[in-house]
Amino acid sequence: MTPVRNLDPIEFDLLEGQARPAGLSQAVMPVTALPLVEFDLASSRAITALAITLEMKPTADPARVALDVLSLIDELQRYDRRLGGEGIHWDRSRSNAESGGTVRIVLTPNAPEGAEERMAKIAEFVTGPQREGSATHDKQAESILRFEAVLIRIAA
Amino acid sequence: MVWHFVACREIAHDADGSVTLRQLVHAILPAPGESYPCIRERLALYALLTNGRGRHEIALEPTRFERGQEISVLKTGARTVDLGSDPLAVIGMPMPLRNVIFQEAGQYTFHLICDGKAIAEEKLLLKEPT
Repeated sequence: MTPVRNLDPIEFDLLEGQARPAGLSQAVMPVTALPLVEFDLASSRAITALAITLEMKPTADPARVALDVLSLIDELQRYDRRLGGEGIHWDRSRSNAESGGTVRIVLTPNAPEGAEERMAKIAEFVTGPQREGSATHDKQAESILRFEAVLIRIAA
Repeated sequence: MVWHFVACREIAHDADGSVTLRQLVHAILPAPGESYPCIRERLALYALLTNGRGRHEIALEPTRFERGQEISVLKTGARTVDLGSDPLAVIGMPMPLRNVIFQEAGQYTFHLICDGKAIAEEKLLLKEPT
């Protein structure tokens, strides 16, 4: 902060040398001070999101790929809700397709409270053993060669 | 240029040269069971200025509205202040007021006058007695 140079007090007596009139009431200045309303702007500027990288099989049917990706996002939505969240949404502006059949999908939590912990669990879930071997995973694996998930911090 | 001009109950001066404005105010009224005219023996105004340098004459002019007209209550004598030579410096101007008399309810405005020209104003609402 720029330093402030405070001048010496400049006092004004509004009676300006006149005698104080008789019969004046005292004035009061009621102010109700509410409890502190604190804002932590550092923490509100960034939220934890999930970046999922999916590498498609070169031989995969594009129609099948579309359904498998939707099914994966739907599965992660439900998992986030099971963890106490309010679901996740696709961050279109941060998602992109790369050459060679790789797509990066950024998913952000609808409920920021506790999101870091939930997103970490979802990241583990995407590639972890509890999902591998499941029917859903096997179905998606028919078109998706590689699943990868990392946590990222993005501006809210 | 005046960035802030606010009324408060009092201004405390800290050892490091900073100030603390205690209880910012907007509404004033006679103490319970009393009526106008009323007096605030202590009140304060604080102005935060930049883009000024050299010596200037500072005064206050409280006004009140009466039937849609702004009427000057009084104009204080001027005080000379030296804003220094750096126009980028941020200058705090604490102004303790003594014996502020309010004749009736309504809107009062304190104009900050610099070299005869109003450069800022702070409005206070004088409420009906309870």
